[in-house]
Amino acid sequence: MDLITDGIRQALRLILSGNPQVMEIMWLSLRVSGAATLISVLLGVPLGAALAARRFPGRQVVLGLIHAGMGLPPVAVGLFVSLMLWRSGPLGFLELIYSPSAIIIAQVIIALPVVTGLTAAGIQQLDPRLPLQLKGLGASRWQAFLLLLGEARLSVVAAVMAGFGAVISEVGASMMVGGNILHHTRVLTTATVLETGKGNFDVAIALSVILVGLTFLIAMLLTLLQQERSG
Amino acid sequence: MTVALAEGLVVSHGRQRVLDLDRLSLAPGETLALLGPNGAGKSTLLKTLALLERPQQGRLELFGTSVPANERGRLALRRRLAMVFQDPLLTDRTVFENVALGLRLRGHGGAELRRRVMHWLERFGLGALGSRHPRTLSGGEARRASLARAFVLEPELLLLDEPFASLDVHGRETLALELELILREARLTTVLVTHDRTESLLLADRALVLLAGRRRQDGPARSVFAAPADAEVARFLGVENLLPAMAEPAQDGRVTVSLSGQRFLLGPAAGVVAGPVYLAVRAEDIHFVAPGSTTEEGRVRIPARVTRVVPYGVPYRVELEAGMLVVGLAARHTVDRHGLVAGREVIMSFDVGAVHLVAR
Repeated sequence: MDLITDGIRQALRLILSGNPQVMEIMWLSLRVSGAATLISVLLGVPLGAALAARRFPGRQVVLGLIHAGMGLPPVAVGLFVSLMLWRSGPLGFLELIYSPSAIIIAQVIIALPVVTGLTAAGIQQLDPRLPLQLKGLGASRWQAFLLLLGEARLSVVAAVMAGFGAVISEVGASMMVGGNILHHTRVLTTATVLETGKGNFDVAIALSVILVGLTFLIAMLLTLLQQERSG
Repeated sequence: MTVALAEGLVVSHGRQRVLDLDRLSLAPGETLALLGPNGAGKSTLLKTLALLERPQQGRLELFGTSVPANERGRLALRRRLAMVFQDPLLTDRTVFENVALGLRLRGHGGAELRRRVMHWLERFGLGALGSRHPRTLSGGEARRASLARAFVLEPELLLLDEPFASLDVHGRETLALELELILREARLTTVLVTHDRTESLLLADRALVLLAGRRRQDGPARSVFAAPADAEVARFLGVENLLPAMAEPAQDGRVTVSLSGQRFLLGPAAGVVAGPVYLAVRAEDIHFVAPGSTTEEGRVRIPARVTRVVPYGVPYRVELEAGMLVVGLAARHTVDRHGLVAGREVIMSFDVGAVHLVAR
């Protein structure tokens, strides 16, 4: 019990004192997972909307693959991306292994199916005639797309939250493709694993408290955005 | 100039040909009722006119312009019309914002938008409900909001897909009467899909009957209902009695009809003039006369036996056997006066001006 309270006390001290190393790790986590979430949203929301709205041969198979992808184990993604980016691998010439970009790539692979699948499910819940009704009132394709996203915003924001939650909390992929290099690819989750291994439980607890706090803060912000107009 | 002109329009869904329309033209200010059973292609025609569906074949002109293939050109034309679907399909925002939606999509805003939205909210009796959320509206209110959302655009062509669907009888009547006033005032060119004869006659100048995607009859609403083009159209338009008869040409373009041992003359506008025909008589045009009363000029009398009398809405539905099955409608006092009960021998009668001949 003392260990936990000490850890929490230590966390508060590290945060309030603005410990440069902790701040650096926190910002890197936010930047990497934020970028991965943003890319997943930019790709996944239109993809999810298109999958929900359009009918084409093989659509069910694509949806099935995306749903399966929603549960991809980060370690497996990490292994796959490592093999691709490894110096002797097919994308080795990009020299991205053990870089923040490598972590972003791996995290996009984890978050993209989550964002796509939940967006598609949210838009499929709307009345299928709504897109036509909006066009019948003079909406362009783009306006209709934005209006539909607005109608499905509860689901779309939930998709963003789930995508961000999946990547900010994963450790396997970051560890494998990033290598947990101090000042370079060390993020909150990999740092927590490292400190626990070294027996620095207070620092490990501090880092996880920061991680949970950050996740909570961002989820709260998104929830406020989500609930803004729904009363 | 025509508001809409279509020729040889073919729309298929997969292998099924849903619409095969030889011709349709709409004059400015005209209200056209599209009639047809479910699956006849009415909604497809409406969506095609709204440029929400692309025909595989045919020519379509809107507002004197040939409809272009590119989306930008189609959007420009689409913004001159408005379509209202069967269900209100309101969006997740206030009633005011729902009604303002089409104007905002066209880049309108400010005081002018507010004035127009408030005008149409009030016109549809929703003046006090602008700040409400659609979830809190009754079915009738939501329907009115969806209509206001289209009228506020003051479109050059208004397309209404069953505007009274899913309303109760009272709601339908009230809204239909209001819509008649509004349409008359606004003088919008309107195409409306309906199943209902009363609504068609109330709202439309013209009626077009679609059966299996094809135009089967097109003309002034009153004459379409009074003189269906054939037996199938007559059945669809709710003509209860199609009585097998024989027709032969008579003098002055008139027709001699033999029905159930009776021969009588019909006027030149009676329809088919020779051969086996059906005499189309609406149930409300069947009357009952006291036996032995004097024969009125222009009325045909046929002895019949009542087989069943049931309350059917406000009037009673009276089923008769007269060598063929005939259905009539009778007010309560008529049922009492003539003692209309099953087994009763009566004289039924109809006016020769109220019947029409279709090919058998």
